[in-house]
Amino acid sequence: MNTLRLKRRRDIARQKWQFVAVLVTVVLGVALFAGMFNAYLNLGSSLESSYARLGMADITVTNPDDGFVDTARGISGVAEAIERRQADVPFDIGDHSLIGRVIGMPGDSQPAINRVDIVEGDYLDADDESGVLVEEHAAGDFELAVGDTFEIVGQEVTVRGIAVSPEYLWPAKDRQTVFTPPRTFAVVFANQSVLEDLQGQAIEGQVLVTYEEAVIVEDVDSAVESAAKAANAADIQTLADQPSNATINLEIGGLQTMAVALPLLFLAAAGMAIYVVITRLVYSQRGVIGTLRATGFGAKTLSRHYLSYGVGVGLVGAAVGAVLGGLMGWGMTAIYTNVFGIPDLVAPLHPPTVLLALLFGAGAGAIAAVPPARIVAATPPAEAMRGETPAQGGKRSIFETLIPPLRRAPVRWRMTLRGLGRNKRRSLAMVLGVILSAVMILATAGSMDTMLTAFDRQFNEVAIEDAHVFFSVPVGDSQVDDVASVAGIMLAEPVIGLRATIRSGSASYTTLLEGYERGTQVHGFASGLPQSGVLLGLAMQDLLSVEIGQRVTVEFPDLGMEISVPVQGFVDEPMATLAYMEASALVTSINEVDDAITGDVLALPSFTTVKARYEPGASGSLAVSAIRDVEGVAAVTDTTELRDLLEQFQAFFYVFIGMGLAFGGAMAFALIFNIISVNVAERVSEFASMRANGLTHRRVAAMITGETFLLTAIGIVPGLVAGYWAAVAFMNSFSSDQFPIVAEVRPWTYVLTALGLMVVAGVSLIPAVRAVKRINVGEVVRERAI
Amino acid sequence: MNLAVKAKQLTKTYGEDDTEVQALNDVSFEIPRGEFVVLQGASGSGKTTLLNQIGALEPPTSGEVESNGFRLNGLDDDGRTEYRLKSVGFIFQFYNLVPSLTAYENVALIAELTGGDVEERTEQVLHSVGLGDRMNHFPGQLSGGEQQRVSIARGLVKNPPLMLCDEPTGALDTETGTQVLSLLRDITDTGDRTIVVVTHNTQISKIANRVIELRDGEIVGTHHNDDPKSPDDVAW
Repeated sequence: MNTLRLKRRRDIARQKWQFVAVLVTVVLGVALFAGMFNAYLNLGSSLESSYARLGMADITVTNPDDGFVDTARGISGVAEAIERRQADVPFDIGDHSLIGRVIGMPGDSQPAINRVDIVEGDYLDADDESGVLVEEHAAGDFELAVGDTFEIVGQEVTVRGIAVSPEYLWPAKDRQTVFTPPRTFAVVFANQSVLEDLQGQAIEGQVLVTYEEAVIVEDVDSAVESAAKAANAADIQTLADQPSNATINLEIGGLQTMAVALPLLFLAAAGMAIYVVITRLVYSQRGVIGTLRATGFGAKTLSRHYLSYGVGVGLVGAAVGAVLGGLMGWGMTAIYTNVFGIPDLVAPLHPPTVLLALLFGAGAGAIAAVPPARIVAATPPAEAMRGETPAQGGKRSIFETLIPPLRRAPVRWRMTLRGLGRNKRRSLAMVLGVILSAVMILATAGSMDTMLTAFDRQFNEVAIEDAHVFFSVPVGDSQVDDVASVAGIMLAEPVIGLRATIRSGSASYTTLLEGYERGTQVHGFASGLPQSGVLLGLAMQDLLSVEIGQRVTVEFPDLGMEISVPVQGFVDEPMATLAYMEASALVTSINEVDDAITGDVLALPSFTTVKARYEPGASGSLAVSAIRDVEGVAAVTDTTELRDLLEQFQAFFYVFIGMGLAFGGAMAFALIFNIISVNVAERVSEFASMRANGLTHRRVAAMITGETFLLTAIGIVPGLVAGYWAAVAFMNSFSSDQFPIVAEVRPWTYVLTALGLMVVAGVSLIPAVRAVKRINVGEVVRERAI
Repeated sequence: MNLAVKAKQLTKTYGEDDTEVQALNDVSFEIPRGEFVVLQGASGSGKTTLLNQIGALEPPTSGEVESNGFRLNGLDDDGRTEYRLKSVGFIFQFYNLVPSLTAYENVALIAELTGGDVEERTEQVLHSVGLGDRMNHFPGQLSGGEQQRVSIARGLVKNPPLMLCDEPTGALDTETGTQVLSLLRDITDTGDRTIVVVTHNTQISKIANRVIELRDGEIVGTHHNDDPKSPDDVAW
């Protein structure tokens, strides 16, 4: 047995590069699994740890009737409930005017729920009313430090500290604005008493609720929601729906999908490579196998011997991959927690994941080695010792059958075509390898395309306004005209924005309903804005099970009333799921139900804002600066800054696609290299014979090259199709009503993927072409001679 | 004398130091055009190495080889390939046919290299080796003797002045081997073509015009058969 082990070691040493390629593929697959799955588990643990430490609310109820906090405390499963206030009010930070959020906190100590981490400076002081805590993202965007001052509703405040809040780990303004552009929003924590001083502002009263451990969250959610509805709450937000938490969990879910899908691709490729290499080994050692059988080795012993090549390389690769994966998992957890600003980093190595990774690696090797091991068991010793191999049949290629003129093509072309069918399993392995690589590349490249297309559509076709103006006074024609007359402004329009719950039957969806002027030029509607009825974001079609023509109920919690309107259509907008009505139709519908809600009510600054577009070539910063001087203007955001966010995302996705290309390319290289190497090794005598008869090594290499490129091309076609569907599945794992993205792969991406795979095939060919050149014709002939 | 091959003080060494093997040692000989020559010797005597030198499959360590107007010593890989294309047809013991090509296509693959009417030449040469009715069969559908005849046709289709055969009957039974030898003998007798056959089979020497005997890398004897036997008259 020891000698068989020695044989195995030396066999592997003789084909070291093929085994190295296999090993690398197994290592990558296992490392990806161990790394990404550990990161997925750790990211969840880190988030939970941070939530637990900072007392993240399990549910938040907005504007319920007085006394609801006591009602909530009495609900079974509720651990704690507190009240607080918050308001979205005008901020002036340096040159920026924006609508920021002030959240009230106790001045003497941290609240029981939704505490914050002070990363710089000090916590609030009850005696220092002008001292505030600035949320970390806002501090970074506006370069605010402890001691700096800025204005909230015209009152100067001083930064006492910089805080990390569990509610704003991902700085989303609300569920409809998950990607809040930098410098257009800020969160500040201030003494509760400060909120009471914000006269004339829309202040929300909130009840924050946490649950006891070991409860069924859905049951307690349901109980609190029922009580909140009974208490006339304007909004109820569970932890699952909390914008920051929902965004991070969407990312964690995507990571989980990738943690399973990507390693599967690699292990499948590794399995095919192992199969190809061991099968070749078995055929080249037929004589040895026959002799060993003749001298007393059992079929099972020899089968196990060859099986051990696969299991061995799988185990070694899995062991190395598990170690690398452990490090990778720790690194990925650190990167993700940093990107999402999760304060706690919990990064243990999960033994079951490591064990699974080892099993996957060894399993892939073992499964791939079974077919060649079975060939060993079935090898007739006498025939094998005579050096006879079963007659290899030949037949015309399918190309010649389908395209008859090819039958008259030069023989070397026909030989190339038929080379594809000489070893069908090997050719199939190569085609599948190319398909898997295309899937990996397109899944990543497609996600980038999808994101870029979504951003492009959102900012160039949907949200086409350049500036968003918030007033501190009711917004009427004069305010709109004042904005429109600012130098550099091409046009300005009033826009009504009302929080709304859309209901159809028992289904409901809470969002924002916006009312635009007829023929609006500050928002793009692909099919125009209907003069009556409502347009709904596409995601609501499924969420509410509604169709065009059906009536829905639109409840406005801030107006305390509801209307019934027909659905006139659905809008496919990539960044949010909103509802839209033509402004005058909205006012008419509201007045029909409650004529007390006049245009004056809707003109309040909390409901009506102004959106404007710049003159072509006008300076955005100058225009914004001029708008800020218009009487009654509280804040202006330059929405062209959204492009900054787009660029940040582009950089992130370029890294992402680079990794996908590198991994996909590595996988394709490992498999194609192995298959071509085996192909050349198996046909050395044939090539030597051709060389002896006058074929140049270039011509022989051209045949190998032709076969390789042809097989690659055959794999590319289904690979691109499968890749598209992989991209769709991949992007669906990131899609939600907050971010309803539709996978989109640009034509150039297909072209580049195909070209990239061809280049990888070309690079994989280099060793094989060199091997062809190095074939020592004399030596091959001499070794075969008696 | 009109020579097909002339070798002078030919030496070929494989390996280095402890593993060095002297496969040919100061070998000189001449092969006249149009002869059927047998290189004979036991295993390891250097006969295949010598055939490879004549066929420019590998360069000598020292010495010179001339064949059909080519001085083989100074040729690079492309030059040696051109020499083999224009001057040499090879026949191997194990045929080494391309399994995915029919008999016709295996021969045409080489015929295409030299241009001209590929179809006519390929069919003609396959007819000449008796495979006119088997040319659309794949190697897996042919017997060993038929495969070797395809191999001969493949060597002949270039119309080379020199055919080099390495144990052409080594994998064949006696009857088929005799047929192949008859074919090779006919090729010499009907044209101005030189055939060099490597074999360890002493019976085959009886059909040759000239026999060069090798032992341990050296020529130990050369004799001329004034009256070579017909392949049908030898058996092994």
